[in-house]
Amino acid sequence: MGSVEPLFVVVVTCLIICIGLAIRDAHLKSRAETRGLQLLADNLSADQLHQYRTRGYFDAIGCVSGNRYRIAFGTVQNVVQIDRSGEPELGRCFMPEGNLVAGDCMLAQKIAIENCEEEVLRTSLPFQVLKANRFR
Amino acid sequence: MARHIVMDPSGHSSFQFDKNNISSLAEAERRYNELMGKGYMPAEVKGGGTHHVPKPRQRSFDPDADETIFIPALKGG
Repeated sequence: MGSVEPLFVVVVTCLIICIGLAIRDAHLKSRAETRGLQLLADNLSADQLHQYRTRGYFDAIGCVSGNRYRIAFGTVQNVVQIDRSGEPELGRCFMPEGNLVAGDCMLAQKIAIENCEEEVLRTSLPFQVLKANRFR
Repeated sequence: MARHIVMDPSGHSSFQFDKNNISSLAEAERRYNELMGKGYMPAEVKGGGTHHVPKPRQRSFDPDADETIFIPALKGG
């Protein structure tokens, strides 16, 4: 019985440390997400910000083709090209390297579409868009 | 004060510098060149949700830029 107690203390201590680290990581992640979304909000046009707050996505116009792209919250498969009738046409999957939060990623996608569309088209991987989804 | 904003997993890091201070400008230029070497894309904030991104061969430190956002290189997902 005497040898079990120290083991129990070690296990409980490890558990407490793990829980503490998990809480700290969650806090840092949440703070990073908030900072990313604030940077995004600071860098959207008034129309884009209104669209994002009311619909959960915003549109950016390609600097070369004039095509409209819709950027939804997220970091992966969150950009679609919109056709002339306003319907999602083709997904364009691209993002900045590194493990960026959603706000940063969406801002990078907007700036790239509006300033270097050729690079976006060269880099992105196309994906099929379901008709009923978050982009409508 | 001018500002460099570098996107990273923390949501971004912000570096302020004084455009009228030579050593502060030199530090900002060193940071700019280091980030260019790592493949970052500089986007100068123009206000109203607009930005200016120079062509790759025309990228050099602009001491007059008030705010520049540095975006890691793009990749396909």
